[in-house]
Amino acid sequence: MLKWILSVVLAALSLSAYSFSVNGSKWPGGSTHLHVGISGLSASGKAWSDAMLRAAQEWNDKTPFDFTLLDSYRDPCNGYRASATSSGFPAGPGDDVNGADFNSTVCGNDFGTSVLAVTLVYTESNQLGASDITQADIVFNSNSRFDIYDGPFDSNRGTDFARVALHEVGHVIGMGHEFSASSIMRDRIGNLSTLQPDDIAGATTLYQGYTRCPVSRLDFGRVTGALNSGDCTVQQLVGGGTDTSLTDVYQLDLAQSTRVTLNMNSGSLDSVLVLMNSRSEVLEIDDDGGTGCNSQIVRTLPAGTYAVLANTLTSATGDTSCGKNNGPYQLTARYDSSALIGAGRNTSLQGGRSSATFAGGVTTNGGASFSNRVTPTQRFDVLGRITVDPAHRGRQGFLVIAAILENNQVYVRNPLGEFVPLGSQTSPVPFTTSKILGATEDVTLLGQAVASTFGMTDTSVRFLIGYGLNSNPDELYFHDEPINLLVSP
Amino acid sequence: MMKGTHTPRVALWQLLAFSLLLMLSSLSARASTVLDMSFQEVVDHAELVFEGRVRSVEARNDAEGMIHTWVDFEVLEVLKGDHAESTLTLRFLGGTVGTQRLEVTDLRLPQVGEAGFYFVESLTRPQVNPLVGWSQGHFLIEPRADGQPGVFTAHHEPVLGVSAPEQAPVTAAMNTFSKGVAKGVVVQESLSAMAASAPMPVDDFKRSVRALVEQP
Repeated sequence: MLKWILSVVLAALSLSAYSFSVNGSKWPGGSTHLHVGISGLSASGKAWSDAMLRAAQEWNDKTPFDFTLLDSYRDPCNGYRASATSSGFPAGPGDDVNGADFNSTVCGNDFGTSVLAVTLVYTESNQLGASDITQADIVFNSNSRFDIYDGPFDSNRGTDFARVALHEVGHVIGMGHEFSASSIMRDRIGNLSTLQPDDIAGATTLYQGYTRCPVSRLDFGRVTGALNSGDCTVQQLVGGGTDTSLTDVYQLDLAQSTRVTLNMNSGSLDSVLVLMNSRSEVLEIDDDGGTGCNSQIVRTLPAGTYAVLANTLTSATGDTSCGKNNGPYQLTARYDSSALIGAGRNTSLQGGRSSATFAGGVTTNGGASFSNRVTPTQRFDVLGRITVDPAHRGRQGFLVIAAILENNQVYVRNPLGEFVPLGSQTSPVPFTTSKILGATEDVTLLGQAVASTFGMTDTSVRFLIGYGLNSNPDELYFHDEPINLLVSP
Repeated sequence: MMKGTHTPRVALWQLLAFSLLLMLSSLSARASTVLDMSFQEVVDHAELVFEGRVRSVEARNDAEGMIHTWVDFEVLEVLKGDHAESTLTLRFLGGTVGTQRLEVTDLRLPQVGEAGFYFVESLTRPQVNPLVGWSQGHFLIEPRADGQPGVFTAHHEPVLGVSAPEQAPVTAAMNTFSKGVAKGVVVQESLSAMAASAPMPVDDFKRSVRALVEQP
């Protein structure tokens, strides 16, 4: 039983921990398109477009970056044109389309002596002190001699276009140069013709996203934390930029579309909340959306994985009540739903597989709607629903209900309907109800309760529900995300 | 021999000998789309070589929104070419305007306040980067460990010597991308080694450039 509880408690502590130092702008979400349809053939009869396609496809196949590759041609200088006010200089902000081609100039500008190719990269500053790439175009110097061939450099044939293309596409995704390791992004062209482990590691690092920082799981409810010197910074998290503010990173998994309310409150620091999707694209940032310096994000999110950054400002504001940029905070996650919400993936005490699903919620209106927050004086029900594995239906079994308080004290409900300390139970799996299992088991964890009558005015309780079979009383099927009850004034 | 009494030709050979001793030094710099040039080629392809100081840098959009950067130099001394005015403005493609930036990979813009030597390919043709071979035609003057000005690459690596080791045309044997330093420019990668070999004095660099300019 203790293992059951511990598995859920420990799961919330940490998912992973990385620490990389990378610089450079990058594409939001780690994806973009590229028109590769350069017309013509090399001296050896190979199509330039095929070489471009292979170059970009190799980055697609071997790194987290995701190119949508388009066979069509797009002039890389489209959107740039000679300016009436600055003769010869290209003008225009581009066309938001990524293209590539040979040209005798860079959109009207001389390449200059010894220049083979130029990649033009447009970036836009983002709210996290870094830059998003918004467009990238490659212009190959048509005055230079290129061919497409394998093997070592052949001065009689000119420069191998495929290698230059592979290198330039690396610049398109935001890769810089490698100076020591064997790499296609090395500053010297050589006999390498494919991406090397260092290239792949670099791109992976660049597009690794929020997992550059330690990530903790965020369940609905309340967690306390603190931003302290030495914590991860936004600069580390995004792999560059100027935002050195401290941040803790939480991962929120939603099984279905859910209206979510996130609050970050503190009595000392100026809190900032950042919501990202699974590809680390910023969905919303809030500084003072809550009361005072507290932050709040309210948003309906589709099912999926999200990152919540508990963040602050880069420097203290001097406000006496909440002007610090470090210190303790409280992060709460609430939901509003018309139905019970999923309680994570199923798991079991002994590793047995099942297709059981679990859901739960708190209602103050008899099940018309669900949330996880109640006031101390509101009357509420905490409900759970187990969809039993078909193989277990109709068999003699038992239900288990447990509650974990904020101080991590664990209570289980006994057959009399009382929550008693786990330590007072002698059975490995202290059951709540013994019964023949149906297809669906609706469980009332707390019925018509009022928090203040339990002495609860500002707290968070996590509930777990599970079931087992009499034929194997030491096995328990349950869920990995608790059903939360948040009591706050 | 007293300092300053030797001829440029003698200085060139002294530097060449010094360079050969250090030619095995590994280089570390940037650039990928630009091919290696020899230092002689950098000099030859420059319409104007001058010692200068950057007075201002301004990036702006033109009427249609394209970003480029104008760099205003104070011209301190002309080593090659004709330029009578005391100032010069060069235009570079790219730059930052507000929150938007146009980045030309590997293009290194001169910074306000920096002093250096600039090898300008053309004063009339609009170019992505008006400096020959991009960083290969861009040197900085910065204090050495002894406080005296010395010559550094655009990437702040100490220049220990310059020479003309290869005369091959730039169109031949283009098998290497530039590392930001022309062939024949010997740099010291590690600042920790500066005590052993100080960066080249400014006057020696000027003499070397002039000697290469005068090469038949």
